[in-house]
Amino acid sequence: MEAEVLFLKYAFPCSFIIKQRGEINDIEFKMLESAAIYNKILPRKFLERVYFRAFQKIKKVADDLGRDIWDKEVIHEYFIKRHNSIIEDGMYAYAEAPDALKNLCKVHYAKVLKIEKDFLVVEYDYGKLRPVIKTLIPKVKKGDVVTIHYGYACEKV
Amino acid sequence: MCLAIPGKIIEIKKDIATIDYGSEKRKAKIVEGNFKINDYVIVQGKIVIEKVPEDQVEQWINLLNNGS
Repeated sequence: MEAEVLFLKYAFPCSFIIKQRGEINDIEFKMLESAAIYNKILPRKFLERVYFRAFQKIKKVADDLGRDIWDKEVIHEYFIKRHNSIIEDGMYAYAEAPDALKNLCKVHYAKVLKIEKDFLVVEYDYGKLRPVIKTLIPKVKKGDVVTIHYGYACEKV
Repeated sequence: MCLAIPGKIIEIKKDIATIDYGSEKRKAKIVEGNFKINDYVIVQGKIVIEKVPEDQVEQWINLLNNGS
């Protein structure tokens, strides 16, 4: 998987928030959604502009690891580890965020319990259930472990 | 449009909830969990994803509308 696609699998679920803030319009939103679903590569500059908040932090991860911001290991390290500790520590805009929002913003590992036409039901955090949209990873099986972000399954682990 | 902010369930018919966002109402499917009228919820892809405690709703909406 290309780095741009991997990045979008994790970042796209945040696009609802970015749209709510008026930072992207409907057309840009649809473009991001379609690229995330159909594994299309969007220009890096465009992604860096839309998700500038994420890239501020990814830059730090890249510096720490001595790698490029578009290195896939950097992207994984950010979304699966660093991003969650930033949320837990209440840094940046998360200082003002209510707990329920923080919980949705975190990336969790989850086990697939049920597969339906449009969504999965997954278990995360030892017993919490959440329905998540499966369009970003359509080929999952019951019992698979996936990562989830907001209302989406992002990647099979 | 409203999907990033919590809406309030005002009606449930079978597994379809009607959710009020103030400026508009939308329908979403309840597929997992116990939801009742007056619950605040987050919807994505026409599915009710999670409940939001009522005392966190205002903080949530303010945060997203202030664009911090």
